[in-house]
Amino acid sequence: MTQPTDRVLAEEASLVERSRDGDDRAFGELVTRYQALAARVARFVAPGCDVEDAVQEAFVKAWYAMPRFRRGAAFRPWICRIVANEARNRVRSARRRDALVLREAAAGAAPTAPVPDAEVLAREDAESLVRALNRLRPDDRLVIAYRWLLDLSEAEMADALDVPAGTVKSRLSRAMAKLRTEIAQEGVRP
Amino acid sequence: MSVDRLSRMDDERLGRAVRSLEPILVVPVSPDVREAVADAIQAGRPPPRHLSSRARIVILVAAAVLALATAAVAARFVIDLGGVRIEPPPTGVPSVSHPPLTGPAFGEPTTLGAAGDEAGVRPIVPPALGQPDRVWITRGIEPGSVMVAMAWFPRKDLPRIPGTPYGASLIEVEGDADLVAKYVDPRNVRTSGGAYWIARPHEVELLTGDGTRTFHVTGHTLIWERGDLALRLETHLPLADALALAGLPG
Repeated sequence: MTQPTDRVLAEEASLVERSRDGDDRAFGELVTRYQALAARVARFVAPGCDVEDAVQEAFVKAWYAMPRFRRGAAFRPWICRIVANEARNRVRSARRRDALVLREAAAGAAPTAPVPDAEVLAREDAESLVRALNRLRPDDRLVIAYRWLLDLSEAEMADALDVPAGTVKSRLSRAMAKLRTEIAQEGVRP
Repeated sequence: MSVDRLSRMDDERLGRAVRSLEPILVVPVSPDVREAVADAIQAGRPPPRHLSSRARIVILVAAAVLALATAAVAARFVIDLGGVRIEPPPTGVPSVSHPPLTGPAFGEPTTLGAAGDEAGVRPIVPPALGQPDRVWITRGIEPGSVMVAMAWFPRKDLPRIPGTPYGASLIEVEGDADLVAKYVDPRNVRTSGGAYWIARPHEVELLTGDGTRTFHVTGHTLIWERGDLALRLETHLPLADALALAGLPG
């Protein structure tokens, strides 16, 4: 996922403004743009919940909260926050399920194109890393996902996590330390 | 690369390792909710309620614990608070330390007069508490759902609530919508003077337009209804003193 361009941001600002004024078609465009992201956020927070239901309810809530949406604020972290809260509400009754699952490694399949600015991992290491991520608390997994899988900026992360901007780095650092601990556990597992 | 090397990476490299998972992760099937959301909006349907339909302040009781409580206690919850949501206990969810319910958590700072104007109802200020030192207002998800919160700083008759700068806080919820929810073991809930009394630390959820936030409550809380208002008073006082402050029979 990449950072949105200026043109995309300008379009989005217009959609948000129209949605604030009660234009449900403009809001529908926002739903189309962000429902895939919302599904991923819900999955990171509450893997066992009904993702579609959580996403739908989050957008309906967002619609009703639009008049109070701060003018000039970014929509992406705001909707992330609402979805994460919605998913968190549902995690209590959700069955345990892994948040992150790797695709099956097909024999003879061509290797996937490397992601720019990413470490290259052997399959076995990727599996260990995913298992470690899945053992993290949902909020720690979410902060890591926001930074490294969804590419939110620090300011967006602060909005999405509803924390002061100055605490984002320390939260991420704590989550990474916990991830490192979980990875170390991989090494001692039978 | 070995697990040992992974665990020795600095944050930046480990983050880039996480990023490398991106193309090989199973991505959840993206739901197409646009139509369902549009239908809900056009029908004017408010979002599905998170909690029971009638309760404004709701005590949530873990099902496993409720099974141990008497039927009379369970029935009284339903009658007096307008509804109770029974949920399985949050098993499998690691415990999270939540912030105390203070300051901005209550909403936007305001004055008593402005809060009354906006809420469309005059907030009740128990005479024994006097004029509040702080007032906030928060809107719920649904139209007409509003919460006014007040706080008083510690004084001789109001010892400080642990973890907060206040001696008392009072939340008043107007509207037929869920805004405040508590997770409480029913064995820790007493009834007295037509009110509910919880003197154990517990979690409280505020369901506002910004989503649901959870806070840790360290004080003693008294919950009652007056007309269309649901009230929640938190202090660090014994029950009899809290009832007297609220103007309820002891």
